[in-house]
Amino acid sequence: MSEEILMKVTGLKVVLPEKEGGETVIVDGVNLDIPRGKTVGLVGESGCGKSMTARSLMRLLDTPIYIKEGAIEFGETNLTALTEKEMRRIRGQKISMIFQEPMTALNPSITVGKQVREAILLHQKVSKKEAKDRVIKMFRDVGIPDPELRYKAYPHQLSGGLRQRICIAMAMVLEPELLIADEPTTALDVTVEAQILALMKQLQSSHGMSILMITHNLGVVADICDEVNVMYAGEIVEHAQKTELFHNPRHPYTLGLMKAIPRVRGKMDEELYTIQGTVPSFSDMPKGCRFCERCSFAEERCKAEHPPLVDIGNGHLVRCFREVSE
Amino acid sequence: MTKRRKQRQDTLAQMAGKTNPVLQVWKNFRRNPVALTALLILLAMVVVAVASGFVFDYNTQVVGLNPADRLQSPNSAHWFGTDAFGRDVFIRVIYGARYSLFIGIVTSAVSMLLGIIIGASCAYFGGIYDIVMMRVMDSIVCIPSMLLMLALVAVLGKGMNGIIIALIATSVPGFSRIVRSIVLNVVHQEYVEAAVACGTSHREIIVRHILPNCFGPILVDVLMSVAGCIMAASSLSYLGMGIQVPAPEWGAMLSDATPLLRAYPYLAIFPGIAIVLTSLCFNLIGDGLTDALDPKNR
Amino acid sequence: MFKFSIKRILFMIPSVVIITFMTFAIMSMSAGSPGSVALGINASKEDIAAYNHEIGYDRPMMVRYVEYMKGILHGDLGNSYKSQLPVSALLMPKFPTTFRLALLAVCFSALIGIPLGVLAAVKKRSILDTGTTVISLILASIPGFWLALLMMLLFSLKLGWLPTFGIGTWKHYVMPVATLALPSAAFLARMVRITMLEALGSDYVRTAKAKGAGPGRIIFVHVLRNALLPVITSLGMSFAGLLGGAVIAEQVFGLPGFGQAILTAINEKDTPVVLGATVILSLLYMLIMLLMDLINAMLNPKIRDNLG
Repeated sequence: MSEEILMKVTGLKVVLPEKEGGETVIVDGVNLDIPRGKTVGLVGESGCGKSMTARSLMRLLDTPIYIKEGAIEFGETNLTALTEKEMRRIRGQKISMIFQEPMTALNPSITVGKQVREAILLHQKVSKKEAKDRVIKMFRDVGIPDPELRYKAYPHQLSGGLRQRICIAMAMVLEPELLIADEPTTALDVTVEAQILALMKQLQSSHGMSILMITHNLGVVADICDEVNVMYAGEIVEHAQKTELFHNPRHPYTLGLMKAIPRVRGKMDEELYTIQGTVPSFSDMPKGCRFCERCSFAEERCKAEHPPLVDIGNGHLVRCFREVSE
Repeated sequence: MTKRRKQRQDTLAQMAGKTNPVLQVWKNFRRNPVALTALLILLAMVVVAVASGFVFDYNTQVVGLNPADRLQSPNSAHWFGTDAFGRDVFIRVIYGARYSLFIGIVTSAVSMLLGIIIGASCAYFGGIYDIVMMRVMDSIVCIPSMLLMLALVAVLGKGMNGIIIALIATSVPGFSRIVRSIVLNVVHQEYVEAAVACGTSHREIIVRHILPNCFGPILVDVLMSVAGCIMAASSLSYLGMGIQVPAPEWGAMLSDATPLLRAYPYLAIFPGIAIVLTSLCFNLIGDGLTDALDPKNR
Repeated sequence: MFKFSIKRILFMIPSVVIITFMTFAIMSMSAGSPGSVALGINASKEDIAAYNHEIGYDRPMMVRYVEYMKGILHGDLGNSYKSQLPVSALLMPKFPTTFRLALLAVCFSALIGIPLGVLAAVKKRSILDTGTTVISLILASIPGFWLALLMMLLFSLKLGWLPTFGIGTWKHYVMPVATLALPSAAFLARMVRITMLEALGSDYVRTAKAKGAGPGRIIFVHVLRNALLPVITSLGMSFAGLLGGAVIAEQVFGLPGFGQAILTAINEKDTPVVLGATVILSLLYMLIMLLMDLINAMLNPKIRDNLG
């Protein structure tokens, strides 16, 4: 597929050093391509490393966690090679991020208008009045009613949905090329979630920007993603275009996720399906395939060897020995 | 075994109900070298304070004074020197520990007991009782503590009983407030709601959920309070309102030393160090206990 | 805002009543009576009784209390047992010294404590951080009067830089203020460190970083205003506490302030003076707390809204 790749992540390895030497690997050799103008999903359960991956893209990791290896190519530059000061110029302007908890993401002591305005003033030399006008226009674009009034509001005076819209406004006001959304709708009601997702889709098409959507909810993926990466225990285990993934899931973990979605039209007394077992902890990672203990297709080979990612056609990648033998 | 792996094992054991939480707190506490040292020093002090009567004879070595020995700087015969009456300062400082430790511990224990009764009853009953009680406590807090203590001592008379009552009177309002807020906080936690929803009896809720979570912070407050009481008691004695001379109380000793400060500074050093050391130990133990109790460390 | 203040002032009235009643009752239990103090210990019991009767001291306590309260409303705090002069005339001239002492102490403790706390939080686990914690712990364990003695020993007697006691020049204020300010600064530094760390770990800091804000901007524009809010109330309480706690510093350094007057009165069993001082200081404490609440309300947008 000859589309322009906006960001190319290769071999990203994020580690947490232990106090007594040694380290825990949180993100283990992840490759990720984000094409321009498309929405890429990163799916997985809590603790699989997807949030850490997202934060590393903006180099927002809290010490002592750091990027040990890997390249993050964004246009001409490798983000891992930049100084902190250079990285700050990119944050908020070329790449921006919205987070999970709109309740706490905004400073309670400053008006929301000023906080969004700050995003502009940090990167561009414009007058405060001009910045304010742009903020109000952005408020209108994200669907905030009475923008002039809301400009002077404090976060606690707004609902969760409105706050998330403010965060989106803050992330979009400088028209970034990439928006990273870390579970932006997990803390919102379903109806509000639908509105926010629709807003993001609309903004994407009007601005031509890429979105990296981090979520554990396959419904969100089905709604707005173009292509999907499934992550488990710090690795990408499957990658495909959306329709291909939902029609033809191959990795046992993905299969389990799909099966676990409750069906409205299923039998009344059917038990909810769960994938048995738990995610291995980062300090106790098995030698072979990491999903092996919970996998119903596991063989001897799976315990001993670590499966690589294989391309099974159509750009569909799977990390499983079942694909190799076929 | 790496530390992470050990922590995971500990957590799993705890989830299986196989650990004793008190033991766990003690284990955490033990890992803190500073707090542990403070505890040891304090225990040594208590032993010394109690045993001093058997080792030294206060009457011959202190009271049976020899005027020719007056005002000697620290030397091999008298480690801390002698005071204006020829008394051995070292022995007096050791005996002084009894006063401070006794006052500090008794005051804090009684204050805490009263504080628990008042605070817990206010949290439990609520209503007018709570409002009135807390209003009275808040009013007492409005009076500067030193002033209140001085006024009480003026009425009750100087000496041991006077300062103990004065210290208790100033400590109780603070404690009752703290206990009340701790109890209220715990009672409104969701795990209590959950226990009630499961049909757990009131008694079981109090014993298994509320008390264990209140106990730790309260103990920490008691320890900090001891430090404060020791300092306040010595301050009162320094002003002449507490333990009176010729008792070897540290504050009183410092009061004697003040007019001689220029010529014999050593008289003011040792009792002061004793006060600071004792207070510091209690503060450090309290700090260490706070860290050990932190559920994130369990 | 106005309604809020009125409500709070009305709330204060029961507290005033409780405090004055309690203090009055306690003082009534005192061994000294107007007669015994005025006439001296050698006076006969009959003379003392007659004196007391004339003043009206033998009336029931409640009656005397009500009269006392009526007097307070006119600013009359009764007369000293010893000198028969009005208590207010005895105490008020001493007030400025203590006030100045407390004010300077609070200002310096803020000037030293707040920056130290901020630095300790920002440079967590550095030498500065551990150093601040250690010094704070030690200062919190030193009784004020010993600190005063040590300072006097070093700066006055050994080095001769500062005068030993009395007032007169600014030099006389240095050690007393330091005695009061240093422990307070240590406590403040610890408190600021905690609030700063909490603020630094919050989500809105992460959002600010994601916007591209640098560490300087994050601290000064975002974190400080949230971290320092609780500190303001603490400062107010500090000041109020220092007004009473200055007793020790005044005693050691021989400053003619409120504290000294109280000590003398206690020794002479001059109850009205002690009572008057208590009333004045308590009222002041309540007023300061009210002021702190108002400032908090003004600065904290959440509280401001709830007041309407």
